[in-house]
Amino acid sequence: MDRSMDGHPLQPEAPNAVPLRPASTVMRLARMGSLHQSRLSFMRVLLRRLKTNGWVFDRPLWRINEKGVGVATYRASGPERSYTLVAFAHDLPDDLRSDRVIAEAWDATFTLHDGDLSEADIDRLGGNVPYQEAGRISEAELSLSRANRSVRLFDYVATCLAAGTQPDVAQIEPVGYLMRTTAVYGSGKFGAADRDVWADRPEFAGSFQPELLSVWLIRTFTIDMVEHMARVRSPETAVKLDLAIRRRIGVGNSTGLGMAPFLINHPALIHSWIHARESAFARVRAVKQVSQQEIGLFTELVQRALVNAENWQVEHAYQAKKIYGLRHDLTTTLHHLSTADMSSDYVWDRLYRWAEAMLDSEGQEQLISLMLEPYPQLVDDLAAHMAADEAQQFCIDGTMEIGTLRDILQNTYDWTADIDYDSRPAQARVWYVSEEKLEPRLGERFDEEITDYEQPLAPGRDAKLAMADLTAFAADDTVAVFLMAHPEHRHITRRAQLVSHYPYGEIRDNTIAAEMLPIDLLRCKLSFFGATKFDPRSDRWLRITMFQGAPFPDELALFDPDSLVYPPLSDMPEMPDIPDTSDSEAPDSEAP
Amino acid sequence: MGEASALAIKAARGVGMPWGIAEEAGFALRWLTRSGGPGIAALCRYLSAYQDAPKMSGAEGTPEAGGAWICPLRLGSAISDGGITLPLAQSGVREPLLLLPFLASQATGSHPVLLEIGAIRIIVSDDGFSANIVETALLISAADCTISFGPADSDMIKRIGNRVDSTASDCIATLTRFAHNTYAPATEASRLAGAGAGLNDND
Repeated sequence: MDRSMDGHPLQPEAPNAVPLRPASTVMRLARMGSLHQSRLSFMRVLLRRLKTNGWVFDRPLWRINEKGVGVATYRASGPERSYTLVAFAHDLPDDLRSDRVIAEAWDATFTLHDGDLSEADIDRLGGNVPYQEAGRISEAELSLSRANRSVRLFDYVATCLAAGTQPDVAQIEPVGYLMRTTAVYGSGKFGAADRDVWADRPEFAGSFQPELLSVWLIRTFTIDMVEHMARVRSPETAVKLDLAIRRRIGVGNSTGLGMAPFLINHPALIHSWIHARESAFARVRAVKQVSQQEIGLFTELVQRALVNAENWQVEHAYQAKKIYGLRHDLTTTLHHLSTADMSSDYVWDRLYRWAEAMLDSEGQEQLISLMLEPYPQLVDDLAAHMAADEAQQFCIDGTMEIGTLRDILQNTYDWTADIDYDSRPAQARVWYVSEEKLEPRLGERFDEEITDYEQPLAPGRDAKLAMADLTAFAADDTVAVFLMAHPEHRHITRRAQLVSHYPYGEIRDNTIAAEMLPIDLLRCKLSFFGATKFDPRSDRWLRITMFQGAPFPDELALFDPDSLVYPPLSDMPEMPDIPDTSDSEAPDSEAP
Repeated sequence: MGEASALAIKAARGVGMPWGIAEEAGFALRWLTRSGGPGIAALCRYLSAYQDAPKMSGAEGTPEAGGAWICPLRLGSAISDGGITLPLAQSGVREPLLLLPFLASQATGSHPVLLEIGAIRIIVSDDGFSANIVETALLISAADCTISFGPADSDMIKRIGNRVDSTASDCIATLTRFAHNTYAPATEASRLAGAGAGLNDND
């Protein structure tokens, strides 16, 4: 860690006084399911970079008819290259609208093209992109995605605008989007360019940058569409969206189980994300003298995060209880900030220690994200390390001695010691892929005939099986000899060797347990994207909002995108009293 | 290429290989494709044979069994792990082209690895391979192989590849069929519960 950055007097007398939080603390499902977006989230990294490097944006084509059907293009032009989002708008009957992967038609479909487009490109893409997985794109495309309208908001906003009025922010805020994407496919999918093609481009440093550029441009398309439909309905009276209201509209996303296997299947990448965030937090905790200005910004952001929490409304009991707790935690924090001594040294470290004792993981993780905000010089450089070339990590070290492998397994998977994987609850679930559009699913091992199709997504169980077979080998035997006798342990051996270098790459919980909640995994990944308003619709899929509050392409030059992430304080309700957590009004904790 | 590699893993799993070996199939295809070899054809031929083979003892090809069926992926893995050291003479190696990616792990700049199959000589370096014959002649269902360290011949032509040849559509169709064995059949129960239908997704 570089401890000499930006003139902040870090702790020279004890340079290692603030170690990173251990994986055994961070990589638990309940905590992963409490993460919030931060300065290091990929959407924020993208917008900072686009702004810093002076990217410009235009809409070269708008060929949408009065029924809302046609094609439009949105171009982002940077210092060296340009990219064009191609948006196909469709007329989708309400009864065909589904967010499931198994849907076959959508309100709109998109691809991000590498460079400028020709009419021939548009024809080619028009014959493929609307069919999504059943079509084929080329190495000149970087993403493939689709979106459905929000039944709740799209018509409401179109109706308001057509009548010459602005929609009510109170209606917009809980939903937060006009359309939600239901899949955003990236590199190497359905013919799109492999990651290798663009991995060296500075505009895509980090993770998921082409996909998120697509989504940010899609956001503008959704606004253009609703304004277009309003004009079609009532050309005489229609108005455009007020810019401040417009900014409160992001892009929704429905996300299912596919993200959960992704987290388990990319340990080096996940480690790089978590490690960057933990490093950022450790740097901030090590700041000795904190200015009043930094305290002031932090306090304002806690207030704005509380506004966000107040606007965050869900039906799902598990998340509803967490949000209730978050509001309580943030209110408690505001009271603490007004009474605690904030002028002494290492105030962030002390605040976190206070939070560890006083708040739940939702509140703790929210505060960590907020503590990073005043320190762009200390934090933002870490974003460049949030990627991994996983092909480099593939080879097994067969010369490793069995004793070493045993130590690695015992250290990394020590949390399995108390799990009896022979018991039914400990292995109740099976991760599998359905032949129906290859949708990732989670089944019940003892109720369904799916075990033959099980994906290797239970590292704890597999590690324990390998440890049992390792007992027959001498400590100075090699891994190579073990794997020749036991090829069935090759997968977990490779993984164990990898995560011994990348401790945040392994989840320290049983991923096939009866009580495991996939939405915890989904939320972890989505927080790194920069998503907000996690809205679980069951224990295994959820909706989110992306880019809510962010500037649009036509105003990126005018605003600091990082200053807009939390809702403005004008929406701030009066500061509530600390709710009594023993109150029986707390939502039921039972997850469905 | 990433897409083809992912398909290779699923296809190898789909014919019954352990996940860890199936991952080696993905690696092998990626390496061969990048190196300009007919990797997808070789893998397709091998997995087809594997699928059709009677599941006798040793059919998975433990290298030390020395039987009639030596799996190039398992032999190759054992070589790259260091469990089997070079030089080596091994009879009955199935689809030996699939060995090349693993031999590359043993090659250094000054010590490339030489694979000899009768009169065919293939030199494997850490970043590709050269051979004294045209590439389709490298598709051999089974062969006795001699593997050693040796210098490249001057008449060998180094191959360079990039993406999987899109004309390999028959191979892709076959691998897709094998991969399909890893997918659970669609049932109404699975559709409703498996992805958590739960609350309405259309509002």
